Amino acid sequence: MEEQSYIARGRTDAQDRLVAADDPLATLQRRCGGEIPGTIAIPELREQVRKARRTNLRLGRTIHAFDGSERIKSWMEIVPADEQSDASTGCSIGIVTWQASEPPAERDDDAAARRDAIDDALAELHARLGPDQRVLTVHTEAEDLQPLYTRMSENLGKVWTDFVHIEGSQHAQPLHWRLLDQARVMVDGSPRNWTARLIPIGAPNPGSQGFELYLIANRAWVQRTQRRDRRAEDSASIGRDLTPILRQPIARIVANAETIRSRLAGPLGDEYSDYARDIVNAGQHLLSLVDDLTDLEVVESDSFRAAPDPIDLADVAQRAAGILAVRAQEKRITIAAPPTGTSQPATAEFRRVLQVLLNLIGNAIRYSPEGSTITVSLGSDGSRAHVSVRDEGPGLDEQAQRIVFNKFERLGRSGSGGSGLGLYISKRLAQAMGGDLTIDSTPGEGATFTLSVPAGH
Amino acid sequence: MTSVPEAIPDTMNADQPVDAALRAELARGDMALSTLTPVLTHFLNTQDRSLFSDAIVARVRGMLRSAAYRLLRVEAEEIGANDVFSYAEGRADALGEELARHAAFLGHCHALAIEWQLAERLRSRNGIDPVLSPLLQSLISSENPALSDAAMGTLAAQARFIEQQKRMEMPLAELPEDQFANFISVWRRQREDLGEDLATRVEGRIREMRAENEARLSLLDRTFTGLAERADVALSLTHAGAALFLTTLAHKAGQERDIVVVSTNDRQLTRFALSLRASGLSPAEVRAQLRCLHPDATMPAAISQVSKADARSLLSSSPFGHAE
Repeated sequence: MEEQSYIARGRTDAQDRLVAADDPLATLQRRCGGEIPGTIAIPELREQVRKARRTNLRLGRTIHAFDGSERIKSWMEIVPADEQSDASTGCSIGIVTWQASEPPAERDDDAAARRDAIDDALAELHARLGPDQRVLTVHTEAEDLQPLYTRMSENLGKVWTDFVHIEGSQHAQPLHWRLLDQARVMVDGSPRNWTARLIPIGAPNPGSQGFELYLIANRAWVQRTQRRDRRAEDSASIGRDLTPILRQPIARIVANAETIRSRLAGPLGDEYSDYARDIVNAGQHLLSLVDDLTDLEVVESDSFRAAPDPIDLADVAQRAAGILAVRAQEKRITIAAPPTGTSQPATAEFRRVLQVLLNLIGNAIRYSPEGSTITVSLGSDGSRAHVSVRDEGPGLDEQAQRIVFNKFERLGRSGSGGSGLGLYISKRLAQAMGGDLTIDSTPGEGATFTLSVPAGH
Repeated sequence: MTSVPEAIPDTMNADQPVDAALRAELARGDMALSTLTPVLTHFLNTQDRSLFSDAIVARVRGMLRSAAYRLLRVEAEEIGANDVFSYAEGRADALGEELARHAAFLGHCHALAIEWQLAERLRSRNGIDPVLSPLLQSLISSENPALSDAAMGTLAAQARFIEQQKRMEMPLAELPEDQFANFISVWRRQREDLGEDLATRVEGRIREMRAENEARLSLLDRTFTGLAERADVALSLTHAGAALFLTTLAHKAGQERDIVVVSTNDRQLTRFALSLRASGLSPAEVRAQLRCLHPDATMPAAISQVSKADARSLLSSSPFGHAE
């Protein structure tokens, strides 16, 4: 997407799901009932994105949509992520123009007819009633309504309200149809809540020729297998759903404790300042734990894929060293990063490599003696590019080396800092990029962790 | 369907599969070319677009896909597919397209779509309930148990039909036996690789499903039979409703029901009028039914001069004019 300036952008993946979007596209997606990430809920856009992805050609189109209150007309450019290759990945969406306008006013009758049509389309049980609301026929394919269907079809000619429970009604049934229309209904055997619609038939007296009865559920019936999948997703949502909720209060605890520790709000006894430092440390540990759990979930999900790009490992190593330089200095540790001007091309995801290196260097700082040196070096052997982090710490014996990459492995350490997840996550990330993370160590002589990824050109 | 072959071999050889594929594509194109003029002519000469309106085309496409989807669901279950829904979803379009090439099957779906349109028109213009017509209502309370039973069944089936049509669905249980055989043969041809054993199991399961409910068309036949010599009462659109009227007309005029349905279109006035005449209606009664369908149309003058027998023999001389 070069040159052209866009009001907003979006990205889709290989399944035509919207994975990222700026406003107003993001808002439209949500108002149309979609999620981000999630299937594109804007019908015309979905069709065009699918077309662009399948044909691998860029498209410019006017997309029309209705967001519930306004009509949207927008010129969008849809560019397959990789126009050169055949690989069907996603597309990027660029919004060039965006016009919102009032929809034409609808007459009340039309609106009512439209609502009836929607209810008709959504209804999962249709029954035909006589003028006295007795059931003439009934038809449903809903799994959870089969018991009701059986009872109704074996007792045709009875009033429909005999077969269901009507919320808040103790009256001798049936009531006038206008009072029953839109009633909330419970059905034995169905876990769902239902709304009844009574559509009168016959003119000039509505209902003189009977009624159509619709039962509309408050939620879709999810097939058993799908429900199982959904549950798996639910349990896996700790990171995605809980992280933002957890982060905020913890961050406030840390910030306030930091204020107390540094006596910003006034003089304070030393011991209280020390307590505050403990709170800060514990809070920061908790934060990193939350982050680790999020990452853990990501790397363990089946859908996790890295997005490799051509990158320079020297650049990543220098940045990682720069980020941790201050922390190293607190222990008078020197980080010897690859000198500027060196280069080690690789094919990997920048963000992920940086994450792994920050973890490796962070560990090295934590377990190295004061005044020592951590060396970050580069290398390659044909198809692989390496970056190694060597420390002068106590090193690991063979048994520890075997288990150091295990989940929640803290090698017997119980002090603060570290969740036992960092190396496990790093190794999973390395493998997802088509590489690996290995350790080489002799007790007493420090340890060298080596991240290898496919070499670049 | 419009894929452009990437490389054309220098020497064309009939044995080469690529050649065969190109030939097949070309033949498909030839077919489209040969139908170009008749289709265009039809549109230029017809005011009433109801036979090929967007709504009808969409409806027919939806029905074909629905039939395909329903079968593929069973196929997926028999194969043991992980995700039955996406298995069927992913293959339904291809099978639907294949079904669209089967003229008889396509014609049947088209006729059902036209019938639904007609029922809707009668409802909005004449206030005739598409599910429960005045005649059906009186038959349900008939003292003849066989007739009232058939009428009751028809009512339920008709209610299902209207709902299914609203959703553009085509349940396999509603297909008449010959159309079901067409449907299965198209599927078997397309899915040759399935293996005989599996195909037989799938077909068997669908046949079981078919046996659960009596099809609407067969119930309408039963109701017609139950009416016996009184069947003439059903030859009124506003009294009998579209469904029972069409079935009765097909039987009495000795025509295929699908053809009778299509003959309600304004380009088929003569066929429609002849069918009514062949069923024994007087010219005045024929005119009344014609008016009900096409208020502005005039009855072909010659209709009042043909006898019932003439009408029958005229109809049967047409290539579309006889029931199986």
